[in-house]
Formats: sequence, C-alpha cells, structure tokens
Amino acid sequence: MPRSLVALLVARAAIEAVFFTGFVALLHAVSAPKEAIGLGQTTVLLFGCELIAIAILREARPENGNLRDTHQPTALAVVVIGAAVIGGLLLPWRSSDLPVLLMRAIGFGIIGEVFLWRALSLARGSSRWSQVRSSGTLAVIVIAIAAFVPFVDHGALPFLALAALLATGVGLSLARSIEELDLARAEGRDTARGGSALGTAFALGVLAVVAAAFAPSLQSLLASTGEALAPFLAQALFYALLPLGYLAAYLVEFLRGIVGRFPRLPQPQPLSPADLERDEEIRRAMLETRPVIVIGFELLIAAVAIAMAIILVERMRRERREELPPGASLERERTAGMGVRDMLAGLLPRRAPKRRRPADDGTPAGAVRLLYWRLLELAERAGIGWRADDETPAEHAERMYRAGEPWPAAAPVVRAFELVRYGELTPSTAQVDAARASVRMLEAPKRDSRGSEQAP
Amino acid sequence: MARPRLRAGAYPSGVAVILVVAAAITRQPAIVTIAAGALVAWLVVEVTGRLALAAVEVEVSVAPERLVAGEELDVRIVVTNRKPLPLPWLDLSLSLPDGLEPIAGGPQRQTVGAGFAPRGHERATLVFRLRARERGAHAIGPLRLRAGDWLGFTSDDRTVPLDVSVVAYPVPLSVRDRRVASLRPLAETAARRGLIPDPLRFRGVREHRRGDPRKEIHWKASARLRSLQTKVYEPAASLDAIFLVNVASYEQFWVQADPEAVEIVISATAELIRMAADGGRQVGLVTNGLDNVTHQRPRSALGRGPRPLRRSLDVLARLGPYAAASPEAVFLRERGRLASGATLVIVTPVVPVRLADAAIALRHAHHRVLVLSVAPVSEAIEARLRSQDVACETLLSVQAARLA
Amino acid sequence: MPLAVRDAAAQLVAQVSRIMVGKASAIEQLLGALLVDGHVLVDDVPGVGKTTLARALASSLDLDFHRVQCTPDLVPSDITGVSIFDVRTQAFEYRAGPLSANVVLVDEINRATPRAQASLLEAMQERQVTVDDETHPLPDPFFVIATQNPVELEGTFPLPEAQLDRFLLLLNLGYPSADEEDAILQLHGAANVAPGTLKPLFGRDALGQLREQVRAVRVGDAVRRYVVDLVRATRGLQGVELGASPRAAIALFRAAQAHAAIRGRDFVLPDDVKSQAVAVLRHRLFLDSDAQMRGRTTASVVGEVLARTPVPAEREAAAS
Repeated sequence: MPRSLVALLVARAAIEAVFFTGFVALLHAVSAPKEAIGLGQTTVLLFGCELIAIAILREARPENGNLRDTHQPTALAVVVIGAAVIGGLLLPWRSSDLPVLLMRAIGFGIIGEVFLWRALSLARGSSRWSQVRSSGTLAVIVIAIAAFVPFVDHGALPFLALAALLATGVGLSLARSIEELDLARAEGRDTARGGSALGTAFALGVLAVVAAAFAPSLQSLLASTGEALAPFLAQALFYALLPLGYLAAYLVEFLRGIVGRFPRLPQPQPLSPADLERDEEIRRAMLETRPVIVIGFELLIAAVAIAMAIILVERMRRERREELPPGASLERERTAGMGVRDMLAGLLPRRAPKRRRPADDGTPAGAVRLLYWRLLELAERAGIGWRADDETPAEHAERMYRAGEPWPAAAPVVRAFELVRYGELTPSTAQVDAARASVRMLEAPKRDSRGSEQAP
Repeated sequence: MARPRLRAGAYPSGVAVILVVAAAITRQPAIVTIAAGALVAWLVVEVTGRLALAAVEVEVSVAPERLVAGEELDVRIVVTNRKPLPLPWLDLSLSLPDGLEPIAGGPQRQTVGAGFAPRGHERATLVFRLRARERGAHAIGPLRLRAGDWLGFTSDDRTVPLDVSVVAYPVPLSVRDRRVASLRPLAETAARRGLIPDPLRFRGVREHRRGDPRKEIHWKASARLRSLQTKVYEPAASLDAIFLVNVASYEQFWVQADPEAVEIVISATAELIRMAADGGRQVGLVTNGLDNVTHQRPRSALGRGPRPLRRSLDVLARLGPYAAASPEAVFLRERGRLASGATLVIVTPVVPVRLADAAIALRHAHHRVLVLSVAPVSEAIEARLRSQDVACETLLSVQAARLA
Repeated sequence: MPLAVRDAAAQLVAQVSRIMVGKASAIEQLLGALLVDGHVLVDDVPGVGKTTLARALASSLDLDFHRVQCTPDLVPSDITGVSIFDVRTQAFEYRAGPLSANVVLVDEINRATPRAQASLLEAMQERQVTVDDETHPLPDPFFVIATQNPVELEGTFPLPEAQLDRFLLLLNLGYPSADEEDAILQLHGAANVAPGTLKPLFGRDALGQLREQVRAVRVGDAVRRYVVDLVRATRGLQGVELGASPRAAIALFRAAQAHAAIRGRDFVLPDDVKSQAVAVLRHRLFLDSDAQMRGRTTASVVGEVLARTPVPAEREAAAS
C-alpha cells in the first residue's frame, strides 16, 4: 500500500477521532452527566481504536483482493458496539432512570456502529478529496456546537479544533494529489496483504490506546512537562490569537454599526456587569481546575497537531510520486530560479515599469535629454503615446506631427536629441534654446487654458 | 507565449467570514481557533493556488524532426519550476495528431498524460516514444498543464500552444511492397547523355575550322602546334532530374479514384529522389497536388545537396491526394522554366492520352523524359511513347497485386 | 568647396530620372553601394529597366560600362579574360575580359555555371583577376550589378549562400505604378533618350572625395550596438535555418553610412539602419522548408526582427 495512502488514512483517522470525541462529549453532556469527560484522553483512545479497526478490516478483506468487497466481520462489530455501550454506561452520570439508561445505551451503541462504519469506509480505501472535506467539516461543526454545551471540557476544545484543522489540511492535500496522480488506481490493483506501512499504523493505534488507558501516569508526566512549557506556549498562543482578537473587535463594532441602522432588529447589548462577573467566575474556575493552559493530553494533541503541520510542509518538499505513460522516463534536477520575495511579488498586480527620468547633469547634452523626455511625457498625456520600443525618435515624431498643431513645433527637440544621442555631439546654445522654446510652446496650451479661465 | 488559463474550484471564503464573525461575537476559544484555522487555510489556498502555475516553464521538443513513416521518435517535455514553492501535483496532457501514436499504446491514443509533484527550483525532463503511423507533417500539441493549491480547493489550468512538428517521409516503395522490383535501374535510365557539349568536360582539340567560335580556340595548344586548334568537349551528361508528380488517378483530375496508387507514386518518387541525390544529381520537384497544411501547390526548386533533397522530401511528405489541376496543364506550363538538358521523370498512377501527349511535347523541348506508371499502360500509348523516344515503365501491376 | 554627397545624389537622381521614371530610391541605393565599395544584386523580372539603370549610372558618373550575359556555356575565361598567342610576337598577350570596366552588369547570373559564378565572385572580392599565374588588377572604382530571375522562375544554378553574402544589397526594382508606366511611355514616345547620351555630372576625383565623405560619417555607440542587435536577432529565429553573418553586420553598417551621407548628415541615425535593413539582410537569411511552404519570406522575417528589436533612445540615455 503506498505510504501516501497510509498517511491519508492516519490523517482521516485523526479527523474521525476528533469528530467522534465531540459526538461522545455532546451525548454525555445531554444525558445526565455528573462531570465532563477528558476530551484529550478520549481523542487519543478513539484515534488508536480507529487505526486498529482499519488494520483489522483491511486484513479481513476477501480473497479476490478487492477492497470494495470488504465487509464488517461480525465479531468486530459486536466488540465495538458492545464496548461503546459499556463505555457510555461507565462514564460518570448522575441518574439511574431507565429512559436515561436507554438513551445512553442506544446512543453510544449508535456511535459505536457509526464508528465502525466509518472505519470500514476508510479501510475500503476511500480517499476522495470531497470525503476528507466533509469529514473535516463535520468535525469542526461538532466542536463548535460542543463549545456552547455545558458539561463539556471547553479547555480542550481549542486543541481538538487545532488537531482537526491540521489533520484535515494534511488529508485534503494528500487526497487531492492522490486523485490527480491517480494512485488510487494503483492501490486498487495491489493485492498484497499487510505491508509495513499499515503495520506501522496498527502499532500506532495500539500505542495510542495504551496511552489513553494509562492516562493517570501519563497525565502526570505530561502535566510536569506542561508546567514547564506552559508560559512559553501561552505567550505564543496569545500572540498568535491577538491579531484575530483585534480583527474580531473591529468586526463587532462594524456589525454593531450596521445593526444600529435597523432599529427594529434586536440590538446587541453590551455585556452587563453581571455577565462580566459570570465570565470572570467561569474563568477563575477553569484556572483553578486547570492551573495551566496546556496540560495532559492537550499537550499531546498539540504536539501531534504541530507534527502534522510539519509533515504537511515536509511532504510538499519531498514529494516523489509520479504517474507516467508506459515506457516513459522522468529525470529531475535542481535548477536556479527566483527567490521567495520575487515569488510573492508576483502575487501583486503588475505595475507598468517605472520610467526613470534622466538626471540633469548641467550640460547642454543633459538639458536636451531632459527636454526630449519632457516632450515624450507631453505626447503621452496628449494621447499620442510614448515612443514604442521599435520606433526611432523620427518615427515617433512623425506620429506627433500627424496629430496636427502644435506638434510640428517639436522638430527642434527631436533634431537636438538625435544630435546628442546618435551623433554624440554637444549641441550649441542656439539648438538648446530652440528645443527649450519648442517644449514651452507645447506646454503653453495648458497654461493658456488655465489663464483664460481666470481672465475676466 | 499565449496562455489561456482557467481557474476551477474555490475556497468557501464565506464560511470563513461567518466563522470569524461568530468567533468575534462568542469569543469562545474553540470557535476562535476554528476561525483562525479557516483564515490560515484561506491564505494558504489563495497564495499557493495563485502561485501554482506561476514561474512554471515548459519546453517541448522532438527528435528526430524528420523520419520515415513507421519509425519512432522521442518526445521530450522539460518542466521547470523556477519558484521555491513546491507543487503537490502537476498534471500534463499532450495532444497528438492523427499520424502519431504512443509506442506502448493505451486507451487514449490521441493524448499522452503524465503527473508528478515538482519540487521548488526543480527541472523535470519527461521522455517518451511515439511512432509516426503515416506520412505527413504532424503538429504536436497543445500541452495542457493543471496544478492546484496545497489544500486541493482550486486548480489552475493552462493550455500551452506548441510549435513542434514532425515530418514523416513516405515509406520506401521496397518496404511498402516487396514485390516491386528495385527502382535503381529506373533511376539510372533517367540520367542519359544530353544533347549539348558540356564546357566543363574537356575532351581534346581539333583543327580550327571556319565558323568555330573564337572563344573555343585553345591558345596554348595552338602555340605548341603552330596552328589554331579548337577545344572539343564531351556531350553533357545530364546532372539534373526533375520529378513531375501526378496525384490524379483518373482522367478527370478532380476525381480521386485510387488513393493507394497515389501513395505508391509518392513513395516511388521519394525513393527515386533519394537515389538521384545520392548520385550527386540536382533534383527538383513539380506536382499538381496540394500541400496538406498550406493548401497551395508546392514545388521544390532544382538544387544539389541536403537542403533541396530535404525540401523535395518535405513536399512529398505533406502532399495530399487531391489534384489542383490536370497534370498535362501543370507540366506543360513548366516547359519554359525547366533547366535545359534536364531529365524529366513523370511519376503517375495512370497514363491517360493527354498526359502521354504532354510527355511527348516535353521530349520535343529537348528533355529526356521517363514515364513511370503504377497502373499498366495501354499498348497503344506505350507504343506511341516509345516511338517518340519517351521511356515508359510500370511500377507494379495493381491488378496482379490485388489478385495475388 | 567639395561636392557634398547629398548634392551629388540629388543631381544623379534628377539626371537619371530623365530616362527612368520612379526609381529615385533605387538610384540612391546604387550610388550608396558604389560609394562604400559594395556590389548589388537585383532580383527582378525582365523588362523593368535594369540594364538602362546601370548604363545611366555609369554615364552620369563618367565610368566605363560593360555587360555580361550569362549562359550555361559561359566559362571563367569569358569573364576574367584570356591569354592569346600572338604569332607575330610569338608571345602570349593578355586580353582583358568584360570585368575591365568600372561598372559591370552581369545579367542572369544564375544561368552561369557554378565555376563561372565563382570566378566572377572571386574577382568581385579581390578586385583583381589571375590568368596564367599573372595578376591583373581591376579598375577602381569597380562596381558589379548582377541580376537574376526571381526564385519562382527556376534558374539553372542558383547562387549558393556564401556567394550571395558577397553582395551588399539585394534590390527589387519592381513594376512601375500606372502613372509611372504612363510617364515611361511619354518619355519614350517623344524622344528616345538613351542612357549613353547622359552627360557626366562629376569626374573621378569628385567620386573619390564622395567616398571619403561617406567613410567619415560617424556611427555612434548606440547605433553600432543597434546594428549588432539586429543582425544577431536573425539567428535562432523560428523558421530561419541560417541567420545573417558578421559580414552582414559590416554591410549594414556601411549601407547605413551611405544612406546618412545621402540624406546630408555626418552621423548615422537608427532610421538609416532600418531603411537599409531589408535590402542588406534579406538575401543573407535562409528559411527552413516549413517556413517556405507557409509562404514566409526573408523580407517579412527582417520586418519581424525590426519590430522586435528595441531602438536605443531615451531610456538607455537615462540609464547611462
């Protein structure tokens, strides 16, 4: 199995883990919870289970080697659903009412079945870009909803969101390039069982499950690490989110202005002191129970998310997959090219190259060059246009003369410029004066028109 | 280079804006994180999407540019990514004309596709083989490039017009049909001795006679022999062979009755021209057919060396099966322009009476004339041609070949 | 006061135009080629006045004129001359050939054999002939006007590329306009003015001074660089199998000097270069088969090169 497909599977497993964690958290929160469940730990556990399930399902595919014929082994289905129901009932919940019990059992059972169905879909080699986009979208929607529901571990949600976003990014990139480079077709033809890459994914899954199982000891280890890193990470997160905060503030004011024009709409009220106090209370409670922003599995998730970002960038740099016609060869080599600055400059609209006016060096030849430059500026402004690259000054002058009066008066300027530029001769004072007078005369119509406006 | 570009797909920027607004209103850290992620993704999609095909240069070349139909050629596509940004994928699709096909076959014979992921500052050279299936001038292209942003939301499509063409010369007749006898005797027949003395081929001197031009006096011999001596030359052996190619296979030239015979005519002419050129002769070509690309009646001026040979073969490669005029009208119009003493080889699918008359007229204009016909020539016409000292040969018996 | 090139050209055009209508530009170009020691190839259909023009030029400039009609049986000795054995003196005596004139019209050069062509072109280059190990210098000035039928009418022996490069200019006189053709008939109806009846306008010394004036015309760095850019741009163009050589750059340089002098200037403008580019370059380019079959001409290729090559002017002046 190509490594890229395994990488995509891992990314999708991560997205699914976040999605189902959110689902579990929501279901738990609405079915008489006693306290919030640890989302980080749950995510890691579900991630591991997803990988293990995928590996088992791929191993269980039929003899024809066609992944599309893979079915859920009955035993696995029973185990997963059963584990989901038992897990749901073991989570801390308050009441022993039958309706709540049934709600939990059925709800978590459904979650288990959906979980297995999703794992089966991944095991079948689903690698379409649209599927990755859909699952990533669902994951962030679930997290967004969970952000407003009580009895959900809100402190872990940003990290889950980060993990989902980055896993989705990696997944989208991989899925698109797999589709375009048609590797899925090659993968479908692969009848070999197992493979070292899939074995690695299986091992990763087991590791994740074990880590989640031994949560307390791992938690304390991560906690001490988190304590050390917390100030730096907190500062980094603050600065990263600060521009967004300003943007948000501007947006709020902007929206307030718009909404204010429609008096019939419910006007957003500024936070009342009571609201502010309540916010402060929640924040203090959070700080007490979570003395640092980053502890425990959140740190692990953040590390995994960062690793995924690094993987994404590194994958771009080292991508080696090819799809070639039969019998073709592809050779690659380094070459010179533009830098990052030039590359980014290409994003900006191309401006017309700036013309550099000649410097006035105080010599008659310099004066003539300036006068000719001024003549071209006047011609451009009058609509005749600057001299074209393949036009000689005489040809451009012909164009000017055809435009009618007073352009034939430009002849002394053109002659003087030709003498300087091509004859490499110094113009006489008379020639320079004649050229200057020509330019003044050509500029004069503007001054006259302004003067006539002022005339009584 | 003209670059029509198309952008497909879009990032759901509206969703990102909604998320930012929601984040601003709710100030929930999770929503803020999601909104930030959406904005970063938007930035990544925009930047990498717009830069995807920027600074990507493509060069396409073929080798050889000229070959015989049936032979193979290499196509080389060099893609250079001059920016530091790598691409997750780049898809190439090269359109092929009807006369070229990939060696290895495949479901799509008229396009060749490839895909890979160029790194930053990388040049990739893709080489694959094609076969020239039939003679003609085959223009390759255009080349279509597709690439996208890093997250797959958008793709950029650019079509690169190419100016790459392959000229496939006609298949040699002996390869085409092994039953055809070697054309070499015919080529040798085509070059006979001419009718005028060749001033470049000095043979000796003789006594000067009244009326001999003064410039022919050999002064050194005259001084030695103490009487005026006139130079004597060998008759000119014609070094010029002009091929008059008729593509009309029926008496009414606008009717194309036998395209296969026309292909035989073209192959035979190509082979004869090569032989004549190899023998150091000047070759030229006149035809009543039309060029497949320009739809003009092509010609190749008389000349010696690789360039006139190549031009003649290019004309034959691109010659279509439809005649612009009757062969006798075209060939007789050339009468005043043909080099004196040149041998004319008329290669034709059939020999109608009018074409035979034209051949005789050209013989009377002091040219050696050889008529090569694909179809058997009627006995009456053949007898008449031979009586007027016009050589006549049949390339192969079409009927006999069909019956065999 | 020495005669200026501009005045000489004006006088020549006025005089020759009495017997040749509408050829002012060709007359100036022929004079320019003569003044820079170049030779001219005229590619044209019969009957447009090539012989008349050459004779008129020779008569007006007080130069000797010979004509050579090329045929396939022309041998080198017919061109270079021959050593004849004189029975009385019992010695060989050199009899000069038709090249012993200041202005030589070589008609239908593409009908001569390659050997005869080579002997002529060698004489043009060396300005001397060698017969029986004896070298005989050719007159000064020595100016050859060669003619050939256009490519559409096939010649027996077209000039090879290396030989074509020896001609400074390729001119095409072309058919006259309707008004010009009417004027020609009027000219030849009333009084048949023969070229030989034209009086010389100035002597050989004056011609020598005119040549010195042309050589002294200044070519600035920018214009010289422009000439180089134009010639180099002809190499490697799509459809061009063989571009212009360095000899072409020298030819364009000189032709531009002559053109500037005829216009009364003592320095060359890019306009002079552009006006001479087609005549100087088009016979020095060779198109591949595909370009020929698509109807591209070397003149159109030179036009493309002129359109693509930037003229040095105010931008470079600002940068310098």
